[in-house]
Amino acid sequence: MEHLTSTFQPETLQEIFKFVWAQTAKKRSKEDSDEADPEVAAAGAGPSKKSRGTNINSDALKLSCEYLRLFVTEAVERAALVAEAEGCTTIEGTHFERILPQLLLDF
Amino acid sequence: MQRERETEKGGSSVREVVAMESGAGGERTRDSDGDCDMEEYGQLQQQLHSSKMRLHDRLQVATIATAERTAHKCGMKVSSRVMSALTDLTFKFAERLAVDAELFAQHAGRKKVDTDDVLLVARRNEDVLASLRLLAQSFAKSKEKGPEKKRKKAVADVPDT
Repeated sequence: MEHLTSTFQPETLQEIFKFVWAQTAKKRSKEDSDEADPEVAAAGAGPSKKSRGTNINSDALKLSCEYLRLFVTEAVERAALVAEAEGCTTIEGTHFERILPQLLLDF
Repeated sequence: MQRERETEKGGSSVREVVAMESGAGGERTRDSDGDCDMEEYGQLQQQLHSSKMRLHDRLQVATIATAERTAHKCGMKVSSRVMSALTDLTFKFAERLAVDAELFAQHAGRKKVDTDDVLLVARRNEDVLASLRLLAQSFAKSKEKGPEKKRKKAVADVPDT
């Protein structure tokens, strides 16, 4: 397995996860609190967040990085096969389109 | 497309688009009540959007690096259009992974996302799952060895101090 520094950094992924989880936490607190109150809505953060954004285990983070790396690698390799079959040396949009359905089903 | 998504989340789409387009801190857009809430909300949306863009750019670097390396192995090049599509897709993939993993952790009654949650997200393809499971097991094994090493180090340090 490749664990080179130029692949997905755990810190970047953690920031993305935190961003998403902050948004889901906001949505949840919005649903729970009274939405008719415009001041609360304008404040952005609810008066009391029921649950501060979720956290992640460091091993789970490394696993997620590997999962993302596999995703990108698989996408490129499958598209490269299609491009090769057509006799091209550059992976174009048409090659990428063809592998996309199965890729999304597999991941 | 991302703008549309954010306006959908906001709810009152027209006002937010107006607020965003009026520029940051420039004109004041007042809704029917005469409050400035919508303008603040629009600014918040802009901040969200820019922080999202920053994260997107950081992920883009890693995505391009991985994609280029893989393409080079296959003796291929990747066109710029495909690369930008791939980075968008990878970002959305990461977002979906975050949402799913959080749901699974909550379902198990935990607040911290575990390796099991990530493995559950990856259940669709058996080969991917097997590969990730091996990696998870190697982490668990190295963790077992790790505390022993730390204990030995602590014992060695004490006589020095």
